[in-house]
Amino acid sequence: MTALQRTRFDARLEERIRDSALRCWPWLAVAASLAAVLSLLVWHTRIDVPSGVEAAQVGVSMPTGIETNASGDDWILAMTTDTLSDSDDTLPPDYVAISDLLLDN
Amino acid sequence: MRDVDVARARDFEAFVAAHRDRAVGLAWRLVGGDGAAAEDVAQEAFMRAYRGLGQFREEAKMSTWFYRILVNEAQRHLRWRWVRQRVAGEMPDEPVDARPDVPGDPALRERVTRAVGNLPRGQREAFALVHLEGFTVREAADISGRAIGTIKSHLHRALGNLRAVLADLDPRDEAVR
Repeated sequence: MTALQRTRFDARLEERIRDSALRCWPWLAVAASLAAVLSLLVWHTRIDVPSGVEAAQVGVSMPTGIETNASGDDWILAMTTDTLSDSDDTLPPDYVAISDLLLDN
Repeated sequence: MRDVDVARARDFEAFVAAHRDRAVGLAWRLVGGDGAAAEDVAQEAFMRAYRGLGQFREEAKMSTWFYRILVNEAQRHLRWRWVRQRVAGEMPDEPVDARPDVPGDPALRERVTRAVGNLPRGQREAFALVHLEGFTVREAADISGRAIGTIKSHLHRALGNLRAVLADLDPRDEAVR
């Protein structure tokens, strides 16, 4: 290498080493943004189980437990029959598959 | 800047000055005679070495450790060049010898460079390290991460391949004619 090539090589190397230290900061910002977006998505799509009073007011059955169906491949909510609907009908136990609940929400 | 950082920077600067020419030369041979790529590969290797100084184990010589990084960087460059040529249709670069101070016939040098560049990767590395850059077989084995026997085998085959490709350059043939 000529002296000029060596000088240029060293200057460029120094710049690259300096830039590589700064280069990680944008990636940290990107990672933080992604984490924030994912948190929002998780919060937004979580299943909100209505409180007892709310559920009663809108006539929604309240879950009393979780069981598996006969084939064991799905979790289902066992729903209470105690609802305070206007018609005061006593509803039979209603089993709702968790997967269906997720779809509804 | 802390004293240890200043000392580290100074030591690294001395290391670069001591190995810069050899690093670029070796990179040039490994990437097939592309001057710009060779400088890029050498710079990337120095940069990785600088960042990895904290993890450098004193069991090996620092130069051996650094040239192993360089060989890996050259391999990485060649892999990406292969991808770019196939995906983007880039034409392979013609070997350009930007070294103005190298004596001899440029056309002959280009032909030898091309012949070495066409060797399979293992043979090219072994040949460049031992016969062109002057490393011992043991050092070449440490740098490339291969067994000594493998290096010897690569050297033997590389020489055979080069003799076949460059047979017309053998001065003994001229004497017979």
